[in-house]
Amino acid sequence: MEIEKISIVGFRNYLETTINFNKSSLIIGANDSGKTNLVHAIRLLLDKSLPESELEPSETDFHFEPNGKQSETIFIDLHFRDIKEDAVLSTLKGSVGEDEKCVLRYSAKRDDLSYALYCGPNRDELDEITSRFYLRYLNLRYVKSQRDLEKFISTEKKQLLKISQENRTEKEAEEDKGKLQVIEKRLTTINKYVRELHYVKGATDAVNSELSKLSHNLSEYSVYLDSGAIETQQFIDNLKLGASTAGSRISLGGDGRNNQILLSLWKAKSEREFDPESEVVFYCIEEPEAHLHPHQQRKLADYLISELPGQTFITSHSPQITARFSPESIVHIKSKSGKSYAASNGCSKCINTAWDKLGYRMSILPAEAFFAKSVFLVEGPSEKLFYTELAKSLKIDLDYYNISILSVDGVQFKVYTSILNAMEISWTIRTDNDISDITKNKKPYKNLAGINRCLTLARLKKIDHAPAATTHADLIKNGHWSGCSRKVNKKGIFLSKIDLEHDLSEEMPDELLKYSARPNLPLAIAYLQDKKAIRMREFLSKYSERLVDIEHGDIARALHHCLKQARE
Amino acid sequence: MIKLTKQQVAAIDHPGNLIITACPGSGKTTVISEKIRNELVDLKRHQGVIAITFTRKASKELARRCTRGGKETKSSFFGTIDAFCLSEIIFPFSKFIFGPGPDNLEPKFTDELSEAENTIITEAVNFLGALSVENTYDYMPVLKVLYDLGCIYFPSIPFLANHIVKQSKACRNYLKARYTTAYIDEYQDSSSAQHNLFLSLLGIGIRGVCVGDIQQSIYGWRESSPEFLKQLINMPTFNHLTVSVNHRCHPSISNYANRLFDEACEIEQGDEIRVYYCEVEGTELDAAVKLNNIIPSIIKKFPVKNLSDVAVLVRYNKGLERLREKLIIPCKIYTEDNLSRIESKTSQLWVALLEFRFDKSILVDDLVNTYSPVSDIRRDRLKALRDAIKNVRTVALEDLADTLLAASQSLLDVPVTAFEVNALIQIINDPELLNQYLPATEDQVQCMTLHKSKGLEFDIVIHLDLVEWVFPKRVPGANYNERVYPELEQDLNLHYVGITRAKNACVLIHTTQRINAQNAVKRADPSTFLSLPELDKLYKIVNKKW
Repeated sequence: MEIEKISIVGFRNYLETTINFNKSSLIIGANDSGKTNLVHAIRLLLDKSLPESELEPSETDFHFEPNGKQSETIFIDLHFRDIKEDAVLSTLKGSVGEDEKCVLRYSAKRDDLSYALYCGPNRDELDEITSRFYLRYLNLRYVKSQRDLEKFISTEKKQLLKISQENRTEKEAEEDKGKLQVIEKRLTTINKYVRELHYVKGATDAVNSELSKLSHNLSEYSVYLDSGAIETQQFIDNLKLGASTAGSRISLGGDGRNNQILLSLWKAKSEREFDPESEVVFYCIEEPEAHLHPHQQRKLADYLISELPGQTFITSHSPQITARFSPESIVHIKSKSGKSYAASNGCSKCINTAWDKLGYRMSILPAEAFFAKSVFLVEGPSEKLFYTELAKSLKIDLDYYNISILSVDGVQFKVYTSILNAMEISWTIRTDNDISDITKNKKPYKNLAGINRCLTLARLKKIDHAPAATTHADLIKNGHWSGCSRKVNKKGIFLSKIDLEHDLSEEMPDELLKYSARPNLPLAIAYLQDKKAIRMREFLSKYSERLVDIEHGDIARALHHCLKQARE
Repeated sequence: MIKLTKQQVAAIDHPGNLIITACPGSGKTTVISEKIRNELVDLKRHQGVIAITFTRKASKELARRCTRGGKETKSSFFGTIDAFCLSEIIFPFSKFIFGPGPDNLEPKFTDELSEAENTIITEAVNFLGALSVENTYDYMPVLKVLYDLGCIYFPSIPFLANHIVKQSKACRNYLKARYTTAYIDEYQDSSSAQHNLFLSLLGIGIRGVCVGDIQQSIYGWRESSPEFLKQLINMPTFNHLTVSVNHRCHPSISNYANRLFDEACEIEQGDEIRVYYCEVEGTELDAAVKLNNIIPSIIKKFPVKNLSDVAVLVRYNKGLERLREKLIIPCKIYTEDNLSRIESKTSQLWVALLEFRFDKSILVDDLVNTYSPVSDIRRDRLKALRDAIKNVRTVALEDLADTLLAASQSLLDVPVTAFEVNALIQIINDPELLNQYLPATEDQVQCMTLHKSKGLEFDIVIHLDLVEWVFPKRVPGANYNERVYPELEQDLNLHYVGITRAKNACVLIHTTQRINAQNAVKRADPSTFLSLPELDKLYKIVNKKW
């Protein structure tokens, strides 16, 4: 059984939206975009730990539109599919359709702040139900981002001990009984000794002598400090969760470690309580990465995806964790004009074979792009270095605007743009104007790869192969470059005249010559390109102040476009 | 701890599909409840058994036995076959066959049908014939029309349920997910539709355990037949066990009863004979008068703790009228009045409410639960329902009719007919009729028809009406000598049921005269049942002339 999708109307950030889910779904989005509210919507219907009183809506739960209008009703529909589990079939009865699907609905009215629950095989055939009776067999386990390990442990401790007691063999139980008796005897001895400590006794001497002065009635009366005759059970109840590292005991842990401990405890607990034949459980964890080192974050993500036995929903701000999810399992919550929604309605199949060839795991850099407002895609590391420095010089604060500069490093731009489109993250690209040799019908031609790449990305028709003798200069002279640029620039696609180094030689010729110590520009360019990233870095570190001069040049236009997108 | 016989243990432990022939007094309810209790132990919370009995009263008793000692029945269903069909199949799944239905789908008896609905059914019967297993499929469009009007016609319930089970995968998935075994009691009184439904359940993979006794099939006049139990016995996938030790009756009574069917039947040896033939001079009316002396005389020989341990069984309801007229000894006459004769939800509810008024042991929630599970009702409505019912106990007689009307309005939301109201008022205004609703007390002899006695037991049973032409029913043949008994098998079963209600003593009474259909007094010969072969040494004749 899986949650196929949720549709939310009029609830908090959401005016009207549908969000599709996958087997494991990662929910990302800027702060305040509505991730937690999405989780809350699911919890209203499925979280056992959410008391019935929380189902009553308050005024602020109804969506506010920017013009001041407020929604009158809230609808939250959870669509389930593939319902095969006996326990759920047994409890939902005729609410599961012939297609093995079912819908649960929460609805609320603003005029009287009332709410109602419904259940049925589809949206049009819902019957009202009086309570979330299905929670016994169908529910969500939730861990929120603010986690208090101490509190969790103190409640779980007793349970852990109890379960462990029940799981002992008879022999073990007998042995424990014997040991407990020994413990009791020794505790009695300890109590006695504690009481006899001179400084324990003495602590109350002063009090007692004053008391006897106060009143005749008190002359036989005295107070003393006592260990209170600790009983074995109390002693065990007060056991504290400790930790040991390579056998030596240490204090529990810092926040990161505590986070890991809490999540393991939580998962072990839900496994214990969960009988897969009698219950369908969904898992929701907010920001599992809290306080964790990046490698640990990745490990945790893998752990959660592979170890939790039910459908999982994870919200995160971590690129490490995001990198563990394939794009079709990522829900990107965006907010526009005061309304939140999921890009492409949530999980969608936007993978193409090129992405598949990349392998299932993404590296860290692309994952960061999912958190950006606008992504600037460039050819390689030297371009990335250059534009980052350019932005700084032009006082464009990339982080402030949530802009990420990403080098595609050999992967097709198309792969990134199709995913970014699905995520509804705007992008700008700057690509090299490559021309390559090609043979067609045994005749040699030049393939205008760069130009055609831009045209294809802009969904325009490609240009035919050019004659074999065509050069870059020809493309400028015959207007192909400017024609193409004019068409594609407004879509955020920018074409170098040749490539970054060549274009730089046009806009910053003096600086280039000085840096390379070469007599002419072609040699200077070759020098830069010989050791791309290294030489670019050197160049930038020497001449970054001069970058201001090219603010209005061709090279900078792409960056400006990217900024414009980020500000929308 | 009850000590179980080997036969009982074998039945309880058997793991597969099973038919249990349970003779009278063999502890049938014990066997079923123990079997169910054992099965429930290994079931998950969301699973359960289906336990079908003939009456709601029997369901309650079975459920009570199964939960004895605080045991849980988990997700089991206890109820009648109609209740099962409605709540587990028809209400939840008919929408997948008929499309979305109206908000309030209601089961209706014939008496409750609206004119439109009645017309639809009469036309269907004219065109297709009566609803049967063969024409179920053709009847579906008719049932759909009724469904769209919000009506489920009671007689169609098992047919419709079977159709839904066959057509809806969602229904089959649900039944298989929840139920592991179907236990059906009184299978000898199954109808063909119920039998087919049972076979469909088996087809889904649910185990079947049926309990019945061919010799106790007494409802043949209601479309039921022991045929189906016989069919199951012959099915290779079913095993047949018998529980035959009669713990209830004195051995001489069992002997006599068994000899009715099989003249070569082995009898248990013993000295005492507890079956008596008693001749009474006069008609049935005279017999009723004379019972005032006969009963104390029997009690002198066989003392009882309470008068309620004595039962007088008659063949027809009119026999009860005679008793009511003539019996001076304190007695409870279990008869039908005009209200219980109406088959409608409203009248059934009023009967239940009248009983509730006089019997403090009935709980308010029992009544609410009969109409819909308490857990399904919203809190505010539940309070209103409970208050409406409580009032029935407290109001004065002159307000009783109005209170009952109010109560049935809130519980049922069904329009009340003038016919029903008249029957109600007639009863309320007649103290004798009203007193019928007083719960039986220990010091009243219990008087009922043979049919009503099924499942009960008494220390002493007095069986009346054993004269020719009356019991077994006889009709004139082609000539004077030809004896035609049109319902011999059913009547013999009925006689058997009556006799096997007795623990200590059974007195079979025949009168020398009888009152015929034209109210004339005729000479009466003893019933042919009294001269079946090989019965002679099994009874004693009462010498005294009454």
